[in-house]
Amino acid sequence: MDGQPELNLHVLGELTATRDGAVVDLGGRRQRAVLAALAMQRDQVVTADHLVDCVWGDHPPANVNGALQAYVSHLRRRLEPDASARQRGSIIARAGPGYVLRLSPDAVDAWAFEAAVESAAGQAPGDAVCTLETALRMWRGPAYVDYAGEAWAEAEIARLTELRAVARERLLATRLELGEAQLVIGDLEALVKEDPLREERWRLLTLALYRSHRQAAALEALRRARTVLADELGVDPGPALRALEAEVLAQSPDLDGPRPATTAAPATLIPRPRTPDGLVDRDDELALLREKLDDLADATSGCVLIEGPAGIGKTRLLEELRRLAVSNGVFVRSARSSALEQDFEWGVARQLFGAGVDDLLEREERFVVLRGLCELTTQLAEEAPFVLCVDDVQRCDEASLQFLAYLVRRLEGLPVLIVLAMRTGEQQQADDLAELVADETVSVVRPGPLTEQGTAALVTDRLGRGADAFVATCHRMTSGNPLLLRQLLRALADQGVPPDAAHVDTVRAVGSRAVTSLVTLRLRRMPKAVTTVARAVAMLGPMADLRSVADLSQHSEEDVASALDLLARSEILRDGHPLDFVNPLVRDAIHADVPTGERALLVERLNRRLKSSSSSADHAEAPRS
Amino acid sequence: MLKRRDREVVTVQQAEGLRPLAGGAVHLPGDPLYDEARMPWNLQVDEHPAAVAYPADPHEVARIVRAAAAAGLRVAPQGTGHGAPPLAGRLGDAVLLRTSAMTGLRVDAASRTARAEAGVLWGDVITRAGRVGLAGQHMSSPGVGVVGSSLGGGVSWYSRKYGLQCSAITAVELVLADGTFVRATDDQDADLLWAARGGSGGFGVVTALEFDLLPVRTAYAGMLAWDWRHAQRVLTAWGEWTADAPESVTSVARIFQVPDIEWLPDQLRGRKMVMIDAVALGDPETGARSIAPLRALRPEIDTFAEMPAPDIAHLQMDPQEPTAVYANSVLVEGFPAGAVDALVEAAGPESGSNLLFVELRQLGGALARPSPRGGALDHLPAAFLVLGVGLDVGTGWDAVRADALRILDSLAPWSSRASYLSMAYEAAARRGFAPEAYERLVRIRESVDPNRVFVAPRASSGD
Repeated sequence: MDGQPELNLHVLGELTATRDGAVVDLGGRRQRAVLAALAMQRDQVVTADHLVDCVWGDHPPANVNGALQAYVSHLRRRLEPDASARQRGSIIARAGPGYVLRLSPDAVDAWAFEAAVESAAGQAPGDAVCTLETALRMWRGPAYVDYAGEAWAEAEIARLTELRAVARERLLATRLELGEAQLVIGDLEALVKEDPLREERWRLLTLALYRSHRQAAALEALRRARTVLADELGVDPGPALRALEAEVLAQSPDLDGPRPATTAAPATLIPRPRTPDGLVDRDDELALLREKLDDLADATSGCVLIEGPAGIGKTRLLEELRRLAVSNGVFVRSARSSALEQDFEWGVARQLFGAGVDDLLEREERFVVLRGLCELTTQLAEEAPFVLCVDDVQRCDEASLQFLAYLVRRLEGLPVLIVLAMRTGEQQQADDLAELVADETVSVVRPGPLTEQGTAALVTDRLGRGADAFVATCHRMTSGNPLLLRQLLRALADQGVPPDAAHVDTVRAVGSRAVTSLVTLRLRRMPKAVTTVARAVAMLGPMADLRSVADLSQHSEEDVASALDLLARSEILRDGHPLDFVNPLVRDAIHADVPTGERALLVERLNRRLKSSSSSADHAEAPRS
Repeated sequence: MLKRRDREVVTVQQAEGLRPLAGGAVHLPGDPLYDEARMPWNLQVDEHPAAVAYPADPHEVARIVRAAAAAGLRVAPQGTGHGAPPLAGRLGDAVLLRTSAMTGLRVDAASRTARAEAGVLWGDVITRAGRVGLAGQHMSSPGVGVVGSSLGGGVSWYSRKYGLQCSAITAVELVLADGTFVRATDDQDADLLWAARGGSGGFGVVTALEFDLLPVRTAYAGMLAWDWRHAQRVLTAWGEWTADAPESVTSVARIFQVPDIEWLPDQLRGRKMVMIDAVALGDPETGARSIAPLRALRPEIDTFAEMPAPDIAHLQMDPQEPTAVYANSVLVEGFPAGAVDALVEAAGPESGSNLLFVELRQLGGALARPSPRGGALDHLPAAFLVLGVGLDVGTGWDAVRADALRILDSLAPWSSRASYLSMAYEAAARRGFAPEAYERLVRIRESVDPNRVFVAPRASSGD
């Protein structure tokens, strides 16, 4: 082996460990608590007594020391499987009256996070943004989430949560400093909503609005802050906010941000993507969406259709639209059609308007429902303009599609923006959809393939600055399809391929597998349990959750949780809830990759589960087989 | 004989059955990525194989080999394609099996060994080995593949002390013509390991090699350079110096017409130079003493310093991106004053030569003694390897080739009958081996690939 295997402990989320990238089975919740308690104390010795308290609280078992030692020895065996029993103990080391964790500072995500936040404080703004963004990406959920509510974990959880809040504020403050005022408004709105009592967030939001030439909105934000603080705490804003208010009213030049950088040094030609799946080469599309949102503010309706092949980034554009809308204070109603729900009448309408329309949708006469939905839309729009977003509209149920077509024809004068995303290349189109696409009032956006510069930006983000020949090959191999490119870069990153000119043929080799086989190949290289879990998620479709996946794959919920974690880290599953694959192509590929025997077994288990769980399962929950 | 267009139609139909293999990484003529996939590192080679496949593991390799054989197609394995020229004109009915997707690499610091799959590049190995204080016997560019260069012998910067890279091989994993997978060692299938040690391949698809690494952490290395007006004086002195140079030092002298390329050092760009590159193992003081006589020649540029072993792969500034080059070489028994005169006259300031460079690589030392491990190529029986490399500067490849041959011919009175096949693409295979080794290679190939599924590394004419 190449020196020591790389061991990493993750506590920012569920507690997991990986060895050279493979998930380590750490055993049950109590056993893992030992590791959690040690990680919280960093390099301090934790006494056996304290560990016992953490693991068992007021109900220790009879031979408590023996039980603790058993946990420690199990953990050691998992963490150092290559060492002999005698040698084990270099990671969980015995020290005086207890134990100490011996891991390098970057091996535990919480430690690395803290170090990164500290180092960002001393960095130039551009570097600090990278450092903070990378650090914040380490979070996979609330810190030590398995032990939330436990007295012994409370202080550390609170400390890390606070540190994260500060890091997020600093990140946005730094981006503001870099002249990205308009871009951070949405994120700041979200931060404020999350915790309206943190004055720093209001301060940054006000500043961002002011610098985006939205003085009225800036003052409005200050007024909201004042109200919230008075209602919740009965206090006035602190000195920082009060000073800001005065400066906004006085249009103080001190508030002006830096001029946007005008230097065109070669290094800055490559735009820095803001997130791992940074949006590049979409300026025109975004400009149109912004324009439509501005129209909406003037009570002008609109309908936009984003169409293109799988993986071109339609969903990503919708996400960006939502972000922009939220930062403009516009409400968004979203739905995503799926093949499973296509036969489910009014499925999309239900997603858009919620349970409140259930009674209306029960009505027999289609026309009555259409009229009803239209009236509802009008009512809602009179209260405040809003956006209706439907992703994968090519799979929309026929009734909802009829509603959308009906609504588009009656939009005029209604402050509603309809944005639909449609995948091209699917077989047949419903008449209503064809009609929609042909409607002259609908603006059609066709996001094109990425340019070579856009490709270069994403290569830089993932692998470091790429040689021209390397970037050009990535571009040609993926035909500029962002999804394919991300999958390719992910696979190259997994293999540690440097982006130099010598590795051009490695790009060809890895890239010439279609996206689907890239994913299944990567999956096959992961531990068996992870493969099984991914297949279970694919079979279960929208009904997949921790318990059902555990049931179907016949692994413990802990194992499933760590497998899901690895799948999310590997960008096979979407990060977050509900469980879903990053792209339908990926789900289809994994689904198709399930061997016949295993498939039969899974289908049988699935049916048994469906029968026993409830008789009310509607047809949206039919297994994919 | 069918015209190319017709033949393409025939072979596409034959190759159609390969499509679902290798996870879809199979490209047939007319496919969008076919042109991308068929291009080797050496862009001078412009072949149109029946299909190009990028298998990711030995199972996928085996399925491709079996499917190709069943379809009446042959198989030509290729890594980066640095050594593509001998395949030119012979791939029309072949599946080009590119090994670049097999990127597994293991470096074992304790046993000082590495296992490299067939897509691993030398740069990958030395970067990884360098982290644990080891080095590998890499070629002059970090972008060269490990497997291809090792099978062909492998003259490295460490060769005068440690011998050929192929002598460092301890195990070879390969897929044979019938699709079986073999791991050959000195104890098992020893014939195949013997053939892998310098036999140039052609007896299976090698999917991985295991080989020894060197306990080299740093070396005293660098370049001395003069304007080529000094070629006569410098090359004469260097030729004399090599006679007594210790085995721990390996050097290369060259006449280099440096192109005006952005990534080259400013003081070299667009100039015509005579240069000496050398690597001295051991402590820097001893290294400095060894090259002192060369420094006494008052070079204009002197970059010698102690450097980490992985940096040595960049010493010769070879281009890493795919490039079109013509290369050819001869082995010579010595480089006396008469030979210097002949070379400078053929390639120096007054010669009219357009060749990118002509270089003499110092052999001898461990390279001259048969490796105790044996192998198809167990030593190199010559004092210098003379390599000529040309780019097409607008005169056409025939002119480049003629230029190179003229220069190599100028050393005919001193040349050996033997050839180093890895760098002599036009030489007959027989000349690369001792007669009995050649016969044994032919016998081994006959027994493991009686139906000639694999395209021979060289055309049979002249065998």
